[in-house]
Amino acid sequence: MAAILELKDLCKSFGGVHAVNHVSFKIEKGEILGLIGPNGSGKSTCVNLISGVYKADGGDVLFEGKSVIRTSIAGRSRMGIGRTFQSPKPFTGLTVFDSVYTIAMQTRSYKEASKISGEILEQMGLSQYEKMRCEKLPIEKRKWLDMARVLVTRPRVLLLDEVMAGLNPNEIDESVALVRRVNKSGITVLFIEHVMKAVIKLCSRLVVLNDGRLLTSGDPDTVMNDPKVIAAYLGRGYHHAEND
Amino acid sequence: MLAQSIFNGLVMGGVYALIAVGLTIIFGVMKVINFAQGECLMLGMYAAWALHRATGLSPYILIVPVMTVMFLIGQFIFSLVINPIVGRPPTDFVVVTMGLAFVLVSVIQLIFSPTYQTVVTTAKNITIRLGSVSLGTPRVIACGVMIAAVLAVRLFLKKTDVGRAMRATAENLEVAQMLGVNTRRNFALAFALGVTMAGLSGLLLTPIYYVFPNVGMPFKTISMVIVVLGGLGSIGGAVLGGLIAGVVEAVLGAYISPDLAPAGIFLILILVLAFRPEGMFGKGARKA
Ligand SMILES: Nc1ncnc2c1ncn2[C@@H]1O[C@H](COP(=O)(O)OP(=O)(O)OP(=O)(O)O)[C@@H](O)[C@H]1O
Ligand SMILES: [Mg+2]
Repeated sequence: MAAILELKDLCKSFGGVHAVNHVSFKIEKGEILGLIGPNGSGKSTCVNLISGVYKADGGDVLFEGKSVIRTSIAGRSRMGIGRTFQSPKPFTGLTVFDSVYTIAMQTRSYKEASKISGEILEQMGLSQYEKMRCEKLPIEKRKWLDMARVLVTRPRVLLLDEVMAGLNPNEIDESVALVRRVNKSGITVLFIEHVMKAVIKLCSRLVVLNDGRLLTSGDPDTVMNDPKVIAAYLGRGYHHAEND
Repeated sequence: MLAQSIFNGLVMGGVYALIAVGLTIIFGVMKVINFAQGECLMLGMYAAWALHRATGLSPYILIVPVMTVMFLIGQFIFSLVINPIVGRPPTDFVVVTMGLAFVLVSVIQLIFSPTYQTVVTTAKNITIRLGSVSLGTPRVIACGVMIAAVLAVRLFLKKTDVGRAMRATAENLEVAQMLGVNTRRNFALAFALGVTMAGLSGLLLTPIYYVFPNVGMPFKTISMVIVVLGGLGSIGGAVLGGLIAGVVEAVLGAYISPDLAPAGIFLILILVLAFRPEGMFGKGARKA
């Protein structure tokens, strides 16, 4: 298998905080790679570096072997890098349908865009909210709206930043099925999640960050039983942070 | 007498509102202030005057051609000087648009000389009476066209695909870019639309005002005050702010002294900002 995305010695600090500290790993085409680690370990910062929101201090991001470190946010999106946000960012003034349709419209005819928007909203369980303004949409639904919006851009790789935080066990099972379906449709997934049940069900491989450094990586069983990983989680604990 | 001043003010306020709406559309989408907005109004006046001279038609018949010309000028200015500085610090934008303002004034001065020009319309000689209030027709038309233009802009932003994409861009540029929205095109459109609104205000002023290269100056200041008063980026706020500014100016002018009018408008601005720092309809600074 070939790597669709590769982080190479990536660095980013904020003031004195080394949020991402010489991190390297690869995402293979077609897989669901889990990116885990305690709060503040640098997971969201990685997503922001891959999608171009932050400028890296050093290192490189390769998409299909080509460096995208100097590519704009828009350019990376056009290449097929899609993402959701740990704290969702809906277009508050638009309706749920319009915010998906407006994105779908960028690359499609009016007819196709309406059709695909309706379909994707249904898959995300948002059909009943179509006419609602996004600012009124319940918080727990907003991540799925983020997901619907990014799916209509036809991403090749999707970075999911804690889409399951705050869901009940039933909803988690549904979401696991949904992420799997998205992956089966040909989209490579980088899956960031504190819900370990979901991580174990979905991911073929895990990468663990701690304090901005890569702690270990490998298959889920080995990683989860690694004393280093257990120590990192015990030392820092984790909870569902709803900030970026 | 008071009723007459208030009506005069509302009508003039309508024109202010239109310039301010143009400014606020540009700000809403691009988060920058166009310091050449007054000069765009001046260009609109010259476009109306020149076309009127060439064709003999009333400026009101020339609304569509002048708006088209202004839209194209807006697109041209955008690709020439604005596009290269998109994404740079806002101060770059201030410097560039201020420079643009000087260039536009100089160019017009070179072509048309600093002479004051006038546009004669038959509408000017007709006054409309409402009880004890009498209003010059050009002012009433200006107000009517302003209302129509603002409604059209709102409809465009709310109901069309391009308008919605512009609102998405306005709300969160990064997210819009991440989702493949053509934000450059939306910037260009917003800028050209803002310029067109200024130009239309210019056209509406031609029957009332002399046409000369520096005519835009006072309008520039007042429209910036109005935009801040109404809340940056809010169209409704710009309209209300414009009307308030017009009335304050007219009433102070009639009862105290026209010299005090700007001071009155600034006083209201200070009062509003003291209680609502984000302006009357402003959404407040976005959280980081
Ligand atoms: N924009 C920023 N400005 C300053 N510091 C930041 C910024 N973004 C992240 N950080 C800091 O970088 C470190 C890594 O944060 P990051 O959000 O990447 O962690 P995370 O692994 O996503 O955590 P969580 O599980 O809580 O979401 C933290 O110490 C955080 O405070
Ligand atoms: Mg995070």
